[in-house]
Amino acid sequence: MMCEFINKLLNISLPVILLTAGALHGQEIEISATVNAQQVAIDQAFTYTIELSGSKANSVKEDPVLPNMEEFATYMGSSGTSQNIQFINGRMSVSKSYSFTYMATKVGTFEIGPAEISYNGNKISSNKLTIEIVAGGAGQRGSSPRSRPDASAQGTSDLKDNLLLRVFIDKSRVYVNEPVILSYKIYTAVTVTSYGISKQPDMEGFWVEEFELPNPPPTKREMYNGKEYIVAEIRKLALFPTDAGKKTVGSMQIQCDVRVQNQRRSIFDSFFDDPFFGRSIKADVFSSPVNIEVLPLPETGRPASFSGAVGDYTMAAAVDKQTVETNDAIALKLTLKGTGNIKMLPEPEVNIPPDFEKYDPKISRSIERTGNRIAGSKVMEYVLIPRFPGIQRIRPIEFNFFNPRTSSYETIRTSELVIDVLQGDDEMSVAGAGLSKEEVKLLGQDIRFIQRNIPKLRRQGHFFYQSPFFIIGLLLPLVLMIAAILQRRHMDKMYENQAYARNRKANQLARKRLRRARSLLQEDTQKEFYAETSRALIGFLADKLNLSAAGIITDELEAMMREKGIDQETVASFMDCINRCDYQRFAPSDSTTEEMNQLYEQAQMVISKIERSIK
Amino acid sequence: MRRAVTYLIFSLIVMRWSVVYADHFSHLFEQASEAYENANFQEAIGLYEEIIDNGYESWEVYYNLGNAYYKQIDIGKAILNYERATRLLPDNEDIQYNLQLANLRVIDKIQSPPQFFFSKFVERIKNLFSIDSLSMIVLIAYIMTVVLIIIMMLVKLGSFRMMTKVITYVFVIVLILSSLLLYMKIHEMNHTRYGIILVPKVIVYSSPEENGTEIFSLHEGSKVKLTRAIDSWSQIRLTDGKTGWLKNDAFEII
Repeated sequence: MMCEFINKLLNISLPVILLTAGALHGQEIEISATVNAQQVAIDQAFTYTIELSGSKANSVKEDPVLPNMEEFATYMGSSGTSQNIQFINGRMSVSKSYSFTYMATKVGTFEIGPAEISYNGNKISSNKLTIEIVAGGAGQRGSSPRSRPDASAQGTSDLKDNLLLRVFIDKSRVYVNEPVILSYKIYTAVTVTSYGISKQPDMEGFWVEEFELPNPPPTKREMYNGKEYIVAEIRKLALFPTDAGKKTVGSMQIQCDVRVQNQRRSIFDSFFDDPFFGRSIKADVFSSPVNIEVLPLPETGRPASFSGAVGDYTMAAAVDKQTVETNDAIALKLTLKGTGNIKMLPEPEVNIPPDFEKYDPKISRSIERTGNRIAGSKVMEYVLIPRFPGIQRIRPIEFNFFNPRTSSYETIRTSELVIDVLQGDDEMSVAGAGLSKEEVKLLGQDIRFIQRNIPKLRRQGHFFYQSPFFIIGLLLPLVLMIAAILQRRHMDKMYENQAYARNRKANQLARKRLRRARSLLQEDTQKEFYAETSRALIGFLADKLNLSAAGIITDELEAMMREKGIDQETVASFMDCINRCDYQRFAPSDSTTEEMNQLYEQAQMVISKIERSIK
Repeated sequence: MRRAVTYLIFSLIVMRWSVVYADHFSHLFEQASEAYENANFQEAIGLYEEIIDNGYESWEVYYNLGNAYYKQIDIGKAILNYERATRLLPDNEDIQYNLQLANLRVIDKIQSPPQFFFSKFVERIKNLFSIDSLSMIVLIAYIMTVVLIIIMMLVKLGSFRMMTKVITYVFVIVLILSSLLLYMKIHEMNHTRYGIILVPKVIVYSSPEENGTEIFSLHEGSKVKLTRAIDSWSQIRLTDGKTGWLKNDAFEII
């Protein structure tokens, strides 16, 4: 017991020695190689680890090229990669490590060549290592601290043929999602008291279902390589490949306790060993890796609604009640049964008539992991609530899968389900769900009464805009408009003619009037003189502007003359004449002949001036 | 020109005659209303339908017929007739109230997307007038505009001229707006058709064939917009944007 404890301590405290820092390639990538033990016993495993570090380590995509170790070790498989990214003070540091397991096969001291990795076209090499392989049980083995080098020193070399771990597959070419049955068997010619799996096989790219095996496993005798072994199946797996391509299942490592014949060498040995006859040694056994070729599912004949199920299935659908009242729940049970990856089985699409309220299904699975296949059933239970009465039909439910046995796609369907929905007591279904409070209140009310007034009936589809009245209504004003335009043009012409005539005659007429005024230029006919002069002036202007003389207001005249562009002086002179005439006419005062004469002269001058300004 | 005049005179005579003939149906209307009051809804329905079958209509007939169907709990036909009454008289409170009541009994609750303020406004204005009243407004505005222009052309108005001008502009604006609205309404009437589902339940398919994919179902009284027709199938669109095909015997055009 003491010895074991010390051994353990020693193992833990022994530092893992990095031999060199590895080849430097700028600051970007560093590569270094390590082994977990400098000294190993023959037939024991050791781990070779390549570590990449530096800021660009993350961008290395290719796997490293391993050194050739065939001379002294066999490759057992990858024991994984790990990646570590750290940010320290804003600087990213990445390290990536690849581990590989080897088994020592030859005694001696060997050099492990550099591992290489290519990055940006450059090859970067790691450091070299040396390893010492010793006969019999070995020194520092990191992976199994409980091993007792002294005890196993003699046994292991004999064990090589007496203890085997063999792996069997039922087929090496499968379709995606078609299971490969992997079975691990111990072949032994010695007594194995117990065993434990010390390294799980690498099964990337597979969905794994483990078979249940009896414990302890039954044993049988079998001949292999001319030798009789006791065979026990210790592990059985179904692997469902998730995608196509060539795949490798890594090796599995188990550690067995093997009882060997006791060969006492010293008294102490027997003291420390177990009290029974014979002693126990630990032995590591490996299975070989297995290659499996995964074929993609064929394109030909693939149904459009294919959802990836592979296997062999049957399907059944049933409802718990054939007759149901509205708003009463029924259960639709859909059962898929068969062999295949039950856990990953997609659910078939179920078309429920829209008159049903459908809830998400309750899904239960049962998987049988005995015998030589993974089988089971998947049950989907839908709760449906019919909302409207009538015969409702649930259309056949279809399910597609690929059957690897026949290498073809198969479609299975259930029969149509007919459900007779009766009107339930619930009033709400008639009224329609989802009414607001206000609407419910409205629902209790009656419609408004009919119209009793006798209506003006009209032909259907006859609108006022199509009626003759409307058309006449549109045309008649148009006709009137045309008439009005013609009338207006006539009037304009007439007016123009009249204006022209009056304009021409204006001067003549004014002079005639003035002549008459002159004849009245006497003391006793003052009033007549002024009236005649005024008439001559206004008449002249009216003729010139084509206005009627009767309606003219003197104030307007002034504005009109200015509008016509008669100069200020003439206008003032004209207005002065008119004002004087009016004054003399209505407020009689005795004016002299001279004054009258002067007015007469002024009037004559104004008329000739205006005559000149308005042609 | 002569042919147009002949047509005008002829159609005037026909209209006069049809008004006379319509008196017979006025009598039918009175009988139907009496039957309704005596709760003989089936009889009332028969009489109102007779008026319509003979090619006459008025919003009152549709409204009363809708009421009679409602009393017989024939919600689809009630809604159909209320909608027809609405088409003739868009803004009548009685029709809208009864239509609302009938719609409460429709099973499908179709959500309409919210409208923009402007389109809502246009819709309100459009529903304010029937085609006939809008035609009347157009005609009056048109005649007034023409008359005012003629007056301005021929009569010296002096200080009234400005006022007359302003009034003319007002009529011109009314004329333009009402013509536009009338055009929109006539266009809508001729190009947008709505139907009311008359069967208790109908399945709407994704394509015009019986074995097409079922998309959804509609129930009696739902209003659908008809967008296309192929053989005995019509493509429909709901206010919430769903479209599909259904058989022509499932609905009746408003």
